[in-house]
Amino acid sequence: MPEHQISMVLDLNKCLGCQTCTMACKKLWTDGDGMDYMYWNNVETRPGQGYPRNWDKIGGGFEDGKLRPSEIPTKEDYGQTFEYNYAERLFQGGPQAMPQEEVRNTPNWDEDVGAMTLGENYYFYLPRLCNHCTNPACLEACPRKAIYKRAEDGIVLVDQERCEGYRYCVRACPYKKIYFNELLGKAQKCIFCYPRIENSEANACARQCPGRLRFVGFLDDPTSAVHKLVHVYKVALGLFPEKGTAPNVFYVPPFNPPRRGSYGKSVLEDPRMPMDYLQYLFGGEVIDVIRRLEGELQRAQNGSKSEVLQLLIGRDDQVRYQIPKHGDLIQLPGGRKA
Amino acid sequence: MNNRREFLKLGALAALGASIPGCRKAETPALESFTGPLDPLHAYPYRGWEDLYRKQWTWDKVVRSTHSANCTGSCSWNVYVRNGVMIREEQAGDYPRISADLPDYNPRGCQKGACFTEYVYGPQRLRSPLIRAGERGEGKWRKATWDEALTLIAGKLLDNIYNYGPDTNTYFSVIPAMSPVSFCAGSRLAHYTGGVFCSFYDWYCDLPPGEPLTWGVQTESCECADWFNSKYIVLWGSNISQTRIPDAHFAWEARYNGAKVVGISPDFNSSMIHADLFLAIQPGTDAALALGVAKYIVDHNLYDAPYVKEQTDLALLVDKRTSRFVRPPNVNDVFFFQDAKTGKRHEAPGSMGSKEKTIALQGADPDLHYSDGEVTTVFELLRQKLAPYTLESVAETTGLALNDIRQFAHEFATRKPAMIIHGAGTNHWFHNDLINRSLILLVALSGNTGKNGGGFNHYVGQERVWPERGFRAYAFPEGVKKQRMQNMTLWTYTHSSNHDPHLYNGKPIEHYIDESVKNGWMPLYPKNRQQKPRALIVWRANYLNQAKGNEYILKSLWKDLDLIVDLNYRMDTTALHSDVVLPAASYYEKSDISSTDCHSYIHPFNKVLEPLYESKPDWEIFRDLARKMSQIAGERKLAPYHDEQFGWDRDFTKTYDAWSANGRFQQAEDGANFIMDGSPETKGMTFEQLKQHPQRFLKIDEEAWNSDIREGQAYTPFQHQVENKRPWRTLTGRQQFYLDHPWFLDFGEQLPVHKEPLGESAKYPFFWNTPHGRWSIHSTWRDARYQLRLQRGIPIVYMHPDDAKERHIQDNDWVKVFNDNGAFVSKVQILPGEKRKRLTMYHGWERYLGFLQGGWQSPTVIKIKPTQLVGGYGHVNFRLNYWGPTGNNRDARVDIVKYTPTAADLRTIRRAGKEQA
Amino acid sequence: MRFLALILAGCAASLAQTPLDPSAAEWKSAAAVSLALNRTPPLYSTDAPASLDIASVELRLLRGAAGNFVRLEWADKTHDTAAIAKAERAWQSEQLVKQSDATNRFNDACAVMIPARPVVGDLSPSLQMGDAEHPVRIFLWDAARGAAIMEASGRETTKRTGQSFPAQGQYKDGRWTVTMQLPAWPEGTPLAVAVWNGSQQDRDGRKYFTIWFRPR
Repeated sequence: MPEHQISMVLDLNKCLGCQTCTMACKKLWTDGDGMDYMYWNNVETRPGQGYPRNWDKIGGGFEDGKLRPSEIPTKEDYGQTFEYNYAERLFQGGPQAMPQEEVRNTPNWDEDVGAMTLGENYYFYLPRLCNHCTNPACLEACPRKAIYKRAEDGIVLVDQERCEGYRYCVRACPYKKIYFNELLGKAQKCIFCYPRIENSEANACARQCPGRLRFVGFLDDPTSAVHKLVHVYKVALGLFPEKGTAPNVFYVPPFNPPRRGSYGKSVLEDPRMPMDYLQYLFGGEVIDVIRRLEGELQRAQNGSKSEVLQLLIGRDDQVRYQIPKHGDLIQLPGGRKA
Repeated sequence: MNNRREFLKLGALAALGASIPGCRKAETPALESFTGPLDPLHAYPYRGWEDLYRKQWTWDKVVRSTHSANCTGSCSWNVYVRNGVMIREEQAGDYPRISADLPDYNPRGCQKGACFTEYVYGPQRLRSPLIRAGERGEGKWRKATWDEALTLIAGKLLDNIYNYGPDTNTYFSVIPAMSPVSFCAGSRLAHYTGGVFCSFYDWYCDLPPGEPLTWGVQTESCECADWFNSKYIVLWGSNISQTRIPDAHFAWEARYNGAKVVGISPDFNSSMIHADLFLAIQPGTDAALALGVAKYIVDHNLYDAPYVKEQTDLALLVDKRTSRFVRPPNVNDVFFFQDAKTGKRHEAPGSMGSKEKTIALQGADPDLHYSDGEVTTVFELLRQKLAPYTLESVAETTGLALNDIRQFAHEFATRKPAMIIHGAGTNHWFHNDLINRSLILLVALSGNTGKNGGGFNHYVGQERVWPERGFRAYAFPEGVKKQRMQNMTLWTYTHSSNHDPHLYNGKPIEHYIDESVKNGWMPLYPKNRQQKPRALIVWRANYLNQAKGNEYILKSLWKDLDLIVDLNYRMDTTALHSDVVLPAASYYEKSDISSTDCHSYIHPFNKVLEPLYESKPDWEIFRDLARKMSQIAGERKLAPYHDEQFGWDRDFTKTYDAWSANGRFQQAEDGANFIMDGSPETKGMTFEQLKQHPQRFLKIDEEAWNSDIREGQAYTPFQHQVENKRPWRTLTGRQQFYLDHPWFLDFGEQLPVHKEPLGESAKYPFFWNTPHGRWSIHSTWRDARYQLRLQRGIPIVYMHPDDAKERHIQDNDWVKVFNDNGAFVSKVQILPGEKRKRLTMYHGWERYLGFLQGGWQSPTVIKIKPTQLVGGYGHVNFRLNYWGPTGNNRDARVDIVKYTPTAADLRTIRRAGKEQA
Repeated sequence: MRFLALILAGCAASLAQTPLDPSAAEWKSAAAVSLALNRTPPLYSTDAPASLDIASVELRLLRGAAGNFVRLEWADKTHDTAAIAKAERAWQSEQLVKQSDATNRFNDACAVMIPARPVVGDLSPSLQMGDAEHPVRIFLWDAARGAAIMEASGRETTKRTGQSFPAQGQYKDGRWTVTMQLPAWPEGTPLAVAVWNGSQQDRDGRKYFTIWFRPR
């Protein structure tokens, strides 16, 4: 176990699906050779195929304490990364501009699709990054032990010098959040923006999020928003808890509006988005969380102030981020939380 | 953890070692070296490599700037430079906080702003002046020097002026607010050379015509932070999660602060997913829903009577026989109500003709319900007009559930403050004025207009130039009356083969256009109807790609123009179809200022780097063009041109002197300082100061705005009227729902009413819907690789699964969408949340990208609404970008079939792949 | 044969030039030795078992002033490599990054392993990358990524030295021929060969290998 664990909470009821996080990450970290198809942070429409395609259905993680079989997604599963013949079309009298190959899949192929049709159609946006798990399957799978968890903040990293690109980690990760750089022959993944975290600066995906739905801080810091949301108010859950890796990225689960003609009914009683889908993603606990959040929303809409919703408003970045200077980590108030 | 390590530590390999000859000590394998000493879950010794990523988060310099793509964002960004290259951008996050209670504006931006650097260096970037070497649009060019290109343009403009008149030269640029100095560079040239300056806000149908009609203003909305003050937010035709990305958080945060959010949209879009109530309305029936709610409010006495009596025209008396307001004899602008206290007719204070400069009732009590044999009130007329809009009939018309409408109506009337966030989804209809007026009626009846957290707030287009007075003086120095101003809808309709076959009260639209022009209500250039436009200069815009009636324009206007010039940093569709293309500096290579109606700050563009390649800021391009015109006029020894319309002798040898105010304006920063200095909002600020961080406006220009900027409060309009009782800027001095102009009476539109969308649904069963989306700002970023990789790479049209099934269309098929106006071929995506019998394509796709035929505007034709040609009625007069016919397009109907690519298509589709092999 | 490497007579010839071209004439004078390939057993419970698709590798050795030249040849029905440095087309921006073609493709590769320190007598280091007292050097050639020298002193300890060595690979008619120019080693040094078949998901310890042998 690391001494401290950095963590992120994402409030899915504020997510716009705008992909600014995706772009912020891409421009900062995955703009180099061989990284074209990588989105360390992506946003996918749920229900949906996800990125890479079907990542949630192909195993990985742990089962009975052992790594569960899985597979390495293909490039097309991740999505094609086409170029265009602009120079030819625009400056040399060439034919219509087209992607260099016919497009069959992209990381956001089924944007806004979801399930069912209009009156009952439901979906939400799920932004995803590496979960920096307490029990990382990638770390477990690496025969070279080139993946490690930093003691001071729990960030999980792939040693870019020692990695040989075997991709056992890619296979093992149940979230498919480790990628293979074919040009460098290395596995690469979200680094939780550790150079920024070390300087008390929130991750690019959080800091640049116009929906302001991300909260960043140390889980073991009782003053942090992430601690409160996860441990005190208990409104944030990890994704696929049964996959056994103990993720450190948490989500405030989503609501959809009532179905046609059902205005006024509880979302638990007559949901547009079936609760079993949320249970599939966030585990059984999600029902309690939804009940709690619905109660808080009703309180607020009836004119009372809800403490947890006031926190989720996140009026400015001081409310959303509590990232002590790297050197100060040791003086974090409070002890480690289980 | 080692017990869970899956690879077989001993078993097989140990056995293997034992069995292989040549293996040392095979009987006892060396376990230490086999399992390794590392336990990377707890400690890791080789961390020196971590500097690799630390180095990646470094830069040599960082400069604040912004973008001007007409997104209404006006976002403060930092651009990072390393080794002389702009490597990335990140929101500066430096908007000062308005108050401790309001969420702040940071970090303001979106995914498009986060990768603008891609354009700076991208393959679309224009690097030198180009002169067409093939057909228009073919993409064959000859590289030219600046001198050569400017000589060609300047010579041609002068030729046109002297041979055909200055009004054959036409100038088009959009949205001054997003970069006024760049805008004014060209407007000043148009101004001093007598050119025609065209509107954009009405042409793009972003102008909500109901606002000038009801309030006498262009558009007045609260700044977005004020959403947080609301307790009931109705997203009406506005998909804020996609089109107001920097601001949407205020609405979702308001929800946590006790607001309910209602979403009204035909489709289950990205904003609807977060709403408390989603109303999947039948397209084009928004006015019916609004009037149903209005009826509910009136029937249940839920209206705010004191507010309505004072702030609206509903108490005014109307003559039953003529349907016109009761006025004094031979006076047009004085009105009456019946005073319930005295039982006498009482002059309504504050109208245009009133001596009183207040609408305060001073003890009078207007009788909303007064009626006698001769007169009645607007309120009573309204009540009659609302009679058919029972909740049952509205449910029928709109396709909504009765229960949902009833609760919506009740909550709207009772939760306060309530606001409507209004968007293009409703504003782009032919009857947009009626829809606007119906919605504005709701917020007026419930007394929400002019209050924080309330009102009708329209956000489509960044039209608000906060420092307006300075801007106007800079843009048109001799005054707007000495400038040829042109409504672009009318200009394009008239000068292209666009033809609207629809008859309006039995007459073609041409009849109404002629009347309007003849009456002097609307201008139409060239004035000499025998002449046609000859030159078109476009900057900061993509006129051709975005124009309604695209196919007609390409076949007519585009063939008639002798000279098309485009200033641009990238080769967009208009540039591609131009004769001369001038490379402009990108947003990161120039100085300018930016403001928006979405917030109350001003901040600058800064040169992150000097203009790249051979590009120049728009400001310098027009400066050099003005110089070139003066030089050529001198060389040709041109006598001054007598411009009869203004009695202006134009000496073109002095064009540069006039343009630069005799050298006063040398740099873009000079213009920025002039604008700020000339406006109360910014007086005292300097360009240098803006570079620190965005500055909140200090106060407002009383002439231009209707509320003050208040410390610690979000800006919302109409507090001057509601709190200070100043007259509204209308004929009656009130929010005017009754328009007794004869054309409005002829069409039965004196009061808000629901009218069905136009179009032949029998022949073409699908609505053609082209909303704003998240992936582009109009055409900007439509061709950006990083954006496209997160879509499907080429244009897609969305379709309901059942419609697709009926037509045997599958996801990702090629399809042809068509009607009598034109056709295009694109890919299809099956979208379960789409409305049946509607096809949607997010707008702005460049014609040159991904379509196998046509473009997204191919099925449209310009349709002008007769009542929007009206002028000469109190507050209803032509004014550039304030009042004029809108270029609506939501009423278009189309059909769709599966398309099988031809052999030639397949070559186009697969060409790049083959090249690779 | 206890603890002995195979002793292969006559596979080493001497030469003056550097025959990196696999079809160079010099190779004709060098005798070929066929080495039997073995398959490592599955290392992970999640690994699919692999069949012995490649039975042997043919080795030739030339000694010269510039070092030892090794030529490995084996039959492999699948040509598994990546065009990692895809040529950019003229119409593309200079700014474009190079793209990955595949994420789940493994490359064909081969390696020659020798003890890093002089061996004493007939003893050879552990075939599993030596051990702490008996480190090895590995000359790895990868169809996509070229040549690299690695060091190891036991399994999981393999690391790159950052050095490379001259090598060439050619795939023709279902066969790989790879030539390597290696530093000279003392007479009697044992040598082991490994082959990876990308289409069998080979990488790391999932591979074909020979036992130690000592060329004469």
